[in-house]
Amino acid sequence: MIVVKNLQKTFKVSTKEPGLMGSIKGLVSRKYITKTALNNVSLNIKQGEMVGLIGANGAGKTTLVKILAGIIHPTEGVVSVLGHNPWDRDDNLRRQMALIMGQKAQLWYDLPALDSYMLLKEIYQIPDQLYKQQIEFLADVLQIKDQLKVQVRKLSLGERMKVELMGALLHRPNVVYLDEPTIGLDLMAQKAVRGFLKNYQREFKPIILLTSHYMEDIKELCERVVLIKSGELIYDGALTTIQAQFGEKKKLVMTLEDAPVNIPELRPELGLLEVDKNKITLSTTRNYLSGSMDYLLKNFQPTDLTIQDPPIEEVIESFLRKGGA
Amino acid sequence: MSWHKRVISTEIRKILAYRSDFWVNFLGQALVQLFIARALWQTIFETNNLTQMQGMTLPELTLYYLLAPLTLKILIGEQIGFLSRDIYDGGLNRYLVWPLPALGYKVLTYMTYSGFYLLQMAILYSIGRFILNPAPVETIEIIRLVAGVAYLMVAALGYFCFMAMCEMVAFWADNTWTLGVMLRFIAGFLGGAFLPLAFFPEHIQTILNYLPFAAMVSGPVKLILGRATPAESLQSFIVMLIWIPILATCVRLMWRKGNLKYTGVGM
Repeated sequence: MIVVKNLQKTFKVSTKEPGLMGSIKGLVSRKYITKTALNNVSLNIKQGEMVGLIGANGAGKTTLVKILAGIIHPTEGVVSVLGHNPWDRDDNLRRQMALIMGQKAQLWYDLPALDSYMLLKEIYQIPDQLYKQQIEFLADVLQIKDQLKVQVRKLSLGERMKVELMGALLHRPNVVYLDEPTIGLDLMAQKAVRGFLKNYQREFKPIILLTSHYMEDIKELCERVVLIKSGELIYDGALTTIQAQFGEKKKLVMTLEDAPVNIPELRPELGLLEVDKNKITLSTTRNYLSGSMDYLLKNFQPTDLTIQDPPIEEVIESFLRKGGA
Repeated sequence: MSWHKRVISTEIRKILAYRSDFWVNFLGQALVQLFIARALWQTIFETNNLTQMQGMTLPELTLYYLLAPLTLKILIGEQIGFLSRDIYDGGLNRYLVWPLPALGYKVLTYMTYSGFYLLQMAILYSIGRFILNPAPVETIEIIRLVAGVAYLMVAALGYFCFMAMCEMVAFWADNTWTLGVMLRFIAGFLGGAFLPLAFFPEHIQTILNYLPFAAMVSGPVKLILGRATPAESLQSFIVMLIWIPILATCVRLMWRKGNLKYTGVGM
């Protein structure tokens, strides 16, 4: 279980005026600003939960992950991961934890992945039997068997992420922090990584905290999401709830037999109308849904009519823009 | 196999990963250095019509110039930036997440490089003796060689502390590459790698004998070449042993303080 109470982290960051003069001035005196990366963040995550951490760039997601992984120290607050203070860096905790950073390699670039795995086996004291079993299982599921003896730097981005994932999960961690695991991957590779994580979570029930800019990752993997804006937690709950509560916009898509000849005037509050050949799309809000529907049904003869929710990306974007509930 | 042994084995595999780089590093660099020193000193000896300088013949001086820079290389171990680069770009994260002492891991990788350069020194020294045919140089006694090697490895540990302190400045100042270069120059100069300490004025030599650099660089070279008495070698070894705990304490302190400043950027 992960427990976070009133977590705060501030950084002192140096600033420099732009241009050559700014650089010269910076040699003599620097101005510092205090940046609040996390402000009063509290949350609990139960064993077996997969939680999506969402926020814009610089919102504080990675800072939170780094604190939970014991990499950096918080300014204030209490954190307990499986009953340990992560920044005590207790080996008992670190043996149960894994951190995968999409933008940062953990394996040695100049060596084949198997060489790095042999080192990880000793570091995590993985018994021979389990090690063999894990190598076989993970290589098989991730379909990466043939790449394990190739220098990591010679692998494609997708293959590299797969071998990184494999390395991080060799010791069957109970807590997994995934920071942008699908960044830069093509659609096939993204799908493969997502599928793997889903199965892994189902089979071993670890806590998984996932940060990703790809909403597809979050949508497919996480039932629960935590939204962070400017260091503050603004939403913690089910993804479906956020969509139901804050997905105000609806799209009515009507298909006609032929392209409409005459389009009667639409009251502005009912939404925005777009016509593309025999397809009419009316973007409206939930409050005016019935009025919009009336307008369409009265004026056109549909062969098909659907009501669409806005994509989750849009819902979250609008939620973050508004600053939460 | 314990993680310690596996770290050493992994580092060796990294050293051996690139064939051409390995050979250039292993043979090329030292041989170039040796021939430059040989040509320079030969000119000085011939121009001044000398047979000895500060008690050293040309072959002895050449051998000294083979051993001293290689000793410095052993001391320096891993390349400059072995820790500061990780602090700068967030590469330290992996060591902090692994269930092992991060600094201990760095000591091991450092010492692996030192061990590798020790092997290089042994081979190059044998080649050097053969090529230079330094007849006046007395035969190296095995016991002296073993003592010299052990001395060198302890010295490498001491130098690691110096290096680590320079590297850890990166916790506060981000980029510290120049500090490493400066340290290498200072250690080389005050340790006698660039110019044998015998060429320094005597009162300076007395001061240098109590500083760690001479004990780390000249100490083992003189021991191997038989240019120091057992008592002199023991004295310089003790000087170094006194310095190591002081330096190690500073390293631990900086590590603890620096970790509080670490932001793990680049992640």
